[in-house]
Formats: sequence, C-alpha cells, structure tokens
Amino acid sequence: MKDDDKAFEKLIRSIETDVELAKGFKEQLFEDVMYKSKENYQPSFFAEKLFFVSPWKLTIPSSLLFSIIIKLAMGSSFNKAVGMIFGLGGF
Amino acid sequence: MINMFLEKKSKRELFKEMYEENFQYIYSFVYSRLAGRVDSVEDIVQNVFMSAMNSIDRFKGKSSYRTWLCGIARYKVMDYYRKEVSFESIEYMDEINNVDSSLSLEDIVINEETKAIVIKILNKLPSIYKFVLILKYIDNYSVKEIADIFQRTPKAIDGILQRGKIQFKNEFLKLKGADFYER
Repeated sequence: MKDDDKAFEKLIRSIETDVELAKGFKEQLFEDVMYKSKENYQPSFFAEKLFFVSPWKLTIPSSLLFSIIIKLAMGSSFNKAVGMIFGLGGF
Repeated sequence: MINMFLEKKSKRELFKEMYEENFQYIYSFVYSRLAGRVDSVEDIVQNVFMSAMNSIDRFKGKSSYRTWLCGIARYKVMDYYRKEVSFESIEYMDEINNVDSSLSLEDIVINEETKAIVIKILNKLPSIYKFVLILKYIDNYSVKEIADIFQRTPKAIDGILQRGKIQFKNEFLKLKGADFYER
C-alpha cells in the first residue's frame, strides 16, 4: 500500500480546489457575521450607532439620566431629583 | 470622540477588506477538509469569520490575514472532526473487503467527474477514515500528529489509515472500476 501514497495524495488533494458559490451567498454570510458577531451585542455597537461615542462615555451619563427619570417618575421635582442624584447619589 | 469613532469604523472596514480577500480561500479550505459537507462547511466558515471579527483587535500582524484565518479554520475543523468521531461506533473496523491489488490508482486522470467521485466516496466512509485520509493526504500530517488529534495511539491511527485506503480503493473501483483505466 505504501506505493499507492502518491496516487492517494493526487486523488484526495483533487478536492482542494476553488468551490463555485451560489450568487449572493458571500454577501449574505457577511451580513450574518456582522449581525451575530459579539461586536453587535456589546454596548459599543449601540453607543456608536446612536450617539457616536464609546460605551464608557455613555455609561455614566446614561446611568445618571436613568436615575433622574426614575426619581421624576416617583414624583420628585426635577431640581430635587437632580439634587438628590448629584448631592446624595443613589436612591 | 471622533477619533474613537473613526478607529471603530476602520476596524469594520478592515474586517470587510479581510473578508473580501479571503472568503473564497477559506471556504474552499474548509470545503475540502469536510469533503464537501455543505451545511457544516457553511456553519464553520461563518464561525471562522465571527471569531476573526471578534478578535481582530488581537491580531498582531506577525503573519498574513490568510495564515491567521487558516489557523482559526483549522482549529474549528479539528473541533468538528473530534465531535463527529465521538458519535461514531467502531464496529466498522473489521469490515474490510479484499481489494483487487492488480489495479492501481496511479493512472487515474483527475477531472471534475473524478473529484465528484472522490467526494462521494469520502462521505461514504466512516468519519474517522475520512478525516484521517484528509489529514494525511491534504494536510500532510504525520501519523503521530493525527494520533494526537484523535487521542489514539499512532498504531491505531496507522491501522485506520491502511483500512481507510483499502475501503477507499474498493469503493473507487466499485463505482468507476475499469472505466478509468481505459481512458
């Protein structure tokens, strides 16, 4: 069987050629990769898309904004809500 | 802020460039290692590029993008091999027919028909035979290296390789037989 090695190599290597792909497949797979990649699930994706800033810059202001909205929803006046957030912090 | 946005944008552009340049090559690379199992090929190719996209920041440029992508693809393919083999029973090990030793594969002409037959036969073989043949003859792995991949002894892999070759040859001759030798 040793003598057959070259023949086997030639035969099996023959499948290593450029494969013809269906039209649009490459583009579709690119879209899928972009959609499913970790990048798109990270805050950076939304931060960039919505506010054009990096996530760490968005995290602190958005947390404060969220806290203020909650305070207002709980019935505090705007000044009081802002004062509570910056003066006392938290709830 | 603008700089950070531009950096991120160029990362995407960089990925797109890398994808455009290497997609066909990586697809063909995986296709041949899986002997044309299209569904699995597509899954693996997608995983390769997803991994590349997620770790493009860590690419140090010590090799070309193609080499880097091939490394990722090879890793994914090996993972697929191990999973496939783990589901397979080993009863087939003793099923060997005698091969007609008077016929050789040496004079066979490689054309599209031959390629299709090679793919068909590889997919008829038990997975471990198929993968061992591919690793040996496409990737030029040694028996010892293949043994490490499948966590078997080199002796066991050598046996699998010999049996794989016999089965491959039997199937080949059964499917096309003397046709090839008359050309």
